[in-house]
Amino acid sequence: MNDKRWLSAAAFALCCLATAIATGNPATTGDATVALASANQTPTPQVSGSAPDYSGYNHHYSDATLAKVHAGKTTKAQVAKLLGAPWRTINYAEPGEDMPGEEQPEIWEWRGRDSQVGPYRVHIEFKADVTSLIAKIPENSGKAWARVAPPSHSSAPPSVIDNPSAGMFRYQAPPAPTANGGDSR
Amino acid sequence: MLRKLRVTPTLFLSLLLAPVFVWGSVAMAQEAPSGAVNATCANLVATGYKAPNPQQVPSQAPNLIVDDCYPPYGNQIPNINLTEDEAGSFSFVAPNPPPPRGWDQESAWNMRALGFNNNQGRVIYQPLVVHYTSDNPDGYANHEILFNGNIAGSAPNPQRGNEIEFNGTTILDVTNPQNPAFLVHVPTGAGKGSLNPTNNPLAQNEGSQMVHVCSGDQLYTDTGGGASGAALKGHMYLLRAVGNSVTTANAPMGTVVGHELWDVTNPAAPTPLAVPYDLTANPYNPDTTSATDKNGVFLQLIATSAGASYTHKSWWECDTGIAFIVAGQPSDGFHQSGSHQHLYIYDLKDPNHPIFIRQFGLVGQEPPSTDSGPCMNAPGPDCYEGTTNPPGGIHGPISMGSLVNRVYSPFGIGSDGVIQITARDKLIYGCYTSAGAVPSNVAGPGASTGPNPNASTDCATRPTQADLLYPQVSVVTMQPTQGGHSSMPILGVPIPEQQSSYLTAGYPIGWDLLFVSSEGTANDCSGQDAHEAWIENIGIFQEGNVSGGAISGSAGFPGAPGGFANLVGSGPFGKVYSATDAQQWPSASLSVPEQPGGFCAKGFRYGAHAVTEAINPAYYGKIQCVSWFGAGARCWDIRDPKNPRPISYWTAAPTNFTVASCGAYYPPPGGTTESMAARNPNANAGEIQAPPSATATYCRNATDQDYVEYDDRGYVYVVDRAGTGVAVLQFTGMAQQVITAPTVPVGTCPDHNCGSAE
Repeated sequence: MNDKRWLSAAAFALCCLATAIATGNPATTGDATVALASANQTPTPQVSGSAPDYSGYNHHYSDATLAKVHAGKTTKAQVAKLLGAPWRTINYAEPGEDMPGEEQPEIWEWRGRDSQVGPYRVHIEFKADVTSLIAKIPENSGKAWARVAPPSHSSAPPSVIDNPSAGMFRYQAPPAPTANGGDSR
Repeated sequence: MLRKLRVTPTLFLSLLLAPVFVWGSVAMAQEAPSGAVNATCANLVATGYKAPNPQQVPSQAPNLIVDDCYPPYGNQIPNINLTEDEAGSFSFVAPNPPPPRGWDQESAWNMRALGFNNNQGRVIYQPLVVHYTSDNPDGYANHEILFNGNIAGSAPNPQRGNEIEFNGTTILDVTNPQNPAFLVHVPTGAGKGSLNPTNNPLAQNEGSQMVHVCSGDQLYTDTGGGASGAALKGHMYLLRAVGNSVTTANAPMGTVVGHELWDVTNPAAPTPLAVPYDLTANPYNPDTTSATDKNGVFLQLIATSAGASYTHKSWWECDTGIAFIVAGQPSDGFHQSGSHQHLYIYDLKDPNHPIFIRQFGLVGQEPPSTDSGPCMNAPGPDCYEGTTNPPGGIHGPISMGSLVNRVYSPFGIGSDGVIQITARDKLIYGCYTSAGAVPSNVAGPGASTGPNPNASTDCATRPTQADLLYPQVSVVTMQPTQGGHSSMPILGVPIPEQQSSYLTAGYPIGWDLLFVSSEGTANDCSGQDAHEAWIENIGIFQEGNVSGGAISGSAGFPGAPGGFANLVGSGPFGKVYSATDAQQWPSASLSVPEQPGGFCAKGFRYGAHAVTEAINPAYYGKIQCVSWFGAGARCWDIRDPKNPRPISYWTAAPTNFTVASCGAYYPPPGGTTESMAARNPNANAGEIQAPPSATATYCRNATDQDYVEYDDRGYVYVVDRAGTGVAVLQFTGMAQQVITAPTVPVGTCPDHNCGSAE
């Protein structure tokens, strides 16, 4: 994180803290009162966890535990038994709207914290009630590699409507532009 | 929403500066009692009223003038003044949008964020901002209240001991845009309380993506509100979809999804309406045993098959009470590819007593059809419209009210699209065979002209092809990689280059426009054509002095053949149409280039989603926004609609509430990490890395702008589909200049140099 971003985040957090103090009514924000993260953690705008039961960051899910979740195999019920109730769930699926083969997943998240990466989220996606993806995403970077199930369908590129008879999707190099934006003829 | 019209200091200023305003009409507006809103609005619009500039200073009082006049709250259409000379967009320096920042940073161009709320981390689909009436009994008089429709899921509610609640409707007080105050979450799910989603398979089916709100004052004064109308006064009512779909075999068949009505007079303490059982008025009422405990459900849909959607984005006319509800269930017998979504039309003028009117769909969706072939080259009683058999479901209709008399409906969402325009009166009342057959409790604008003497016996529930064709004005079939998600009309836009030199010289020409979008539905552009938005020309009119339907001094100009004839006004604001919406024809596209920005490698979706639907008269015909998922909220200067100019954008920075999006195409098949880095030069150092294994994929907490809407003060609301929350913004810089540009006299030429081309 660069300095500018850190300063912005810190300023935002201080602003929110001041606002909460000024209003004296943190409940109206629908969230816990904001506090700055400890020195060895990245300050995060909007919220940082001073209310453990809501933030969920008071848990830890070890690598050994997460290794028991197998993409392509572990069911939703098995995941719930292993990790407990998720902090948040989202179901993006819109059957009938999603493109075939591109169905949006149901996502469960757990918040945790460990000494290595600080606060993080366990992100598990389900398709047809079976784990399709699992990732442990540090909050301070917001990115991570995920384990996914091996592809169950052909890895061939998706079909594209390409109708030669209609002349669609046929690339023809345009004339090079001139300095004033016109063509070179 | 309905409120007592009054003149603000801003309007006084506008009146002094705008000689076209007529004082008498304003005085009438000032003195108008609550109610009769459409009459007051009609007077204002007919006399050339144009909205003052939106307030951009948060501490100023809201502009309380005529936003009640326009759909879905009223039936007027804002006048659009000409603010460009005849060179149109070519008079301006071509905008040069700066490249957006990386996926983990806020990006802004001519927009500025003022306030933010995390919405309890619930993923938002649609925002709706409503002005609460001055007679609100619960302390919210003249407050601006934001209703967020949330996507299915669950999250802890800190207001209720952090219990997990299924996502429903979140309500915020945004009167102070710099400090949106969270009021309440109205959950969905059995018992409307907190359930552990791990123990309840229904969790995956809940959510309440869509909201509409009407004032009881308006429902009562403009419609009579039915037998118990007087009881509606002072109340506010929420219409929402509950439950999207049945997605997996784990969901129990027979799951209930549907639509609900709530009393939100006190937005911090909503209460569900107890809709009485009435088989005659509402055959889809769920409860046949109790008259008091209905939890607001008035339309229950029984899901008996997985893999289909059952509810979506509805529309509720507050001045008539007519609701166009997107719903469906297998037992209806309608044919749709991929979903069960078609139209249910209800009269909700008294939300306590909903009255079912009819179901409706696109040709080929009707229950009796066998869909023998496409209507284009195999017309017949069993043909289907569009490119897929049967046609895809409807996404969300928009009615422009009883005067325009049109309903605009997109089908297909993200593929195999069809855009349909229907006559509102025939759509609502087309299953009655005569005006006399329309029951008095559903009679309203259009009841005398809409009935169809040839309507079939089962038209209301099992319409024939002829029943569906009766209200249809036109359809256009989209390229099959694109679908109909939004179809928002912007009517009466002056065309800069056609102010004096086309058709009958000397009279300005304008177009009616339909903004259409196709929803991109894949992360990282994988497997899809780019999803775009377009501007369709759906009507051409000529302004002038109208007398008896003819323009003075414009001999030979064809008269209006119907359609929008009822928009014809008087004096300098009259309009006569030379072409109507019997035809639709795209005239320009709105696109967001993949570069610069590297949006196909930024995370989440990239492509068009929803066209802004809120009508703020200061923005109408001037600036139009479309949500573009990972590419942010995108807005265009549309004053020269043949040559729209990108004018502003905004993308939220992720927080620790942002849901990760994970893409399997990173790097894409055949690509390399080096090539991805080259395509996304704004990526952070170290962002592009080689995958650790062949089956690895990459996740980023990237934001995903789902909807962008306005309020009546001009503030802009951008909601995040990835759970970050909702931001309140304002236009700045060039975008603000577009909105505040002064009126240009007709015939103004570039550099005052008309006719001097050499």
